[in-house]
Amino acid sequence: MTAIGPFIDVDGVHKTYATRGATLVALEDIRFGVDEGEFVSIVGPSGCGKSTLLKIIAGLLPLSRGAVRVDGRAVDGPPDGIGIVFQSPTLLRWRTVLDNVMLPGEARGLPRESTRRAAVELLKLVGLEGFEDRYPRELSGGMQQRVALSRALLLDPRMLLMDEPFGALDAMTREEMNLELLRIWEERRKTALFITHSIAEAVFLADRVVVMTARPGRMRGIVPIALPRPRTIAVRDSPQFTDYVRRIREEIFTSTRAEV
Amino acid sequence: MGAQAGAVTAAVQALPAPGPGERIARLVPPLLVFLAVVALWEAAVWILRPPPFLLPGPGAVARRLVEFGAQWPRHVWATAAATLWGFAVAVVFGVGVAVPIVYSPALNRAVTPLLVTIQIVPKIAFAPLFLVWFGLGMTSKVMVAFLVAFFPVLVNTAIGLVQIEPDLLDLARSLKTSRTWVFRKIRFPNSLPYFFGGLRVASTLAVIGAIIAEFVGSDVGLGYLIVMANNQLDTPLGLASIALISAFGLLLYGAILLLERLAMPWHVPDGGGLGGVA
Repeated sequence: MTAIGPFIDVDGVHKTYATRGATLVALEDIRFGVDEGEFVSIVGPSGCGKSTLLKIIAGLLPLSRGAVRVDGRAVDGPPDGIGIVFQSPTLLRWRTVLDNVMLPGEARGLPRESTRRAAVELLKLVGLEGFEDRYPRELSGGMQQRVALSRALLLDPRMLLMDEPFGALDAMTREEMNLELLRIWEERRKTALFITHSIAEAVFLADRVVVMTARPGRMRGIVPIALPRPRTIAVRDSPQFTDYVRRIREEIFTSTRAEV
Repeated sequence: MGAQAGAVTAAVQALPAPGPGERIARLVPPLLVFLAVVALWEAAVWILRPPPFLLPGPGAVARRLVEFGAQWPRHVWATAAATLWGFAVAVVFGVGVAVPIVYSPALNRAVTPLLVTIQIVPKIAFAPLFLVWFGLGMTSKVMVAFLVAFFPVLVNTAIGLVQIEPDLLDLARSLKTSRTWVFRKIRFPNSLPYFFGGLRVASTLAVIGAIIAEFVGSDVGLGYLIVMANNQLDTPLGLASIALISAFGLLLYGAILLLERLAMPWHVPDGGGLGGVA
């Protein structure tokens, strides 16, 4: 079945919450697409509903109006073939690193041996070879997120949804993880949707950046990022990069000021 | 990457892993404190010479302990059995009530006020009533021990089943897992540290419950011995009974710590202490 339109199709999504008589608008008319193999970042201030949007796309939260289609099929529950990475690593602290990565395979009842082989290989991919038998508490925050990324990749998903996965890490670890993520993404070529409140991070990673503003969560625009790949840390110092960051920052701030 | 991973390995290995020598060394300070207290007590009795029914020295207590000899086992056994039965019933009911309450909001709303009310009522006050209802034997003792030990097991288990990162439950949902799967793979293991915390508290409470029941009405057991010794001004026997109660309580607590280690090799052991900031 070949879909017409983008692989992930966010088509006029509204999300409202009813709170004691008043209706709270969390998302208003969000529409954009993510092509197969594309890396799209969503950036915006806290309270712009970007995490809500990700949960809607992941089929974990119902939408109020509009539609989300993945590969042409409307989402009304967790679709097949997604891998999710959350802001906190959400590892099971009673399981070793390897057992944590194997969890999705167990949940799906896949044969243990092949699941194990896939998990070992993924841990190698994220640079955690030799840590298979450690418990999460023995790892640093960055390493725990690497484990979470391996877990998200275990079932070989077609798309990777990431909700501020590096938001809790220190600046240096974060830059390192950005590079790692790009390396892994280039190797695996998953359709990727990455949520962040760091403009620099959004620009550095993505092919296109969806810019959002807060209260209610609205789309401000989509900025294509024409920086060459593979991207190295030096890209961050290039004038183009700085330009993109400035442009997006202005978009977010002018809209905020207009509201105030 | 490789260098970083290596550095982390080194850091992980540098975490304190007590060897046998270090473990014994750790036992020295508490033992010294214990011995110092006993020595101070003996010295005070030797200097002040209070009548033995008022305050016998540790030596006198030890002598009475030995002298009582073959009469101990049936008393120790009676108290131990009441404690262990009460504790076991508390664990079964605590967990048995926690699981349905956690899964049914309606049941939770219906039952929780009653449970909290029962917890607020001084359960010791039930001891004389149980005597009337269940007689002078084992049953009343087990009932009191159960009643005081039940609540911490229930509350801790329920909290452990519920205190889960919402994102973790979202992850489970995205994997299309069943409720049974989430219980087995997430809720149950997540509840273990809380559950064992409840067991620790419940074990000490169960001992107290059994002793109180024996105070109120019993013809055997360490609690009964304390009352009897008091009536006969045989203070050394009373203190010897208290020493045995403490020893039994410690043994039970230690057994739970051991079980905890075996059940949760992944958990950071706290040595059974009260924790601390340094």
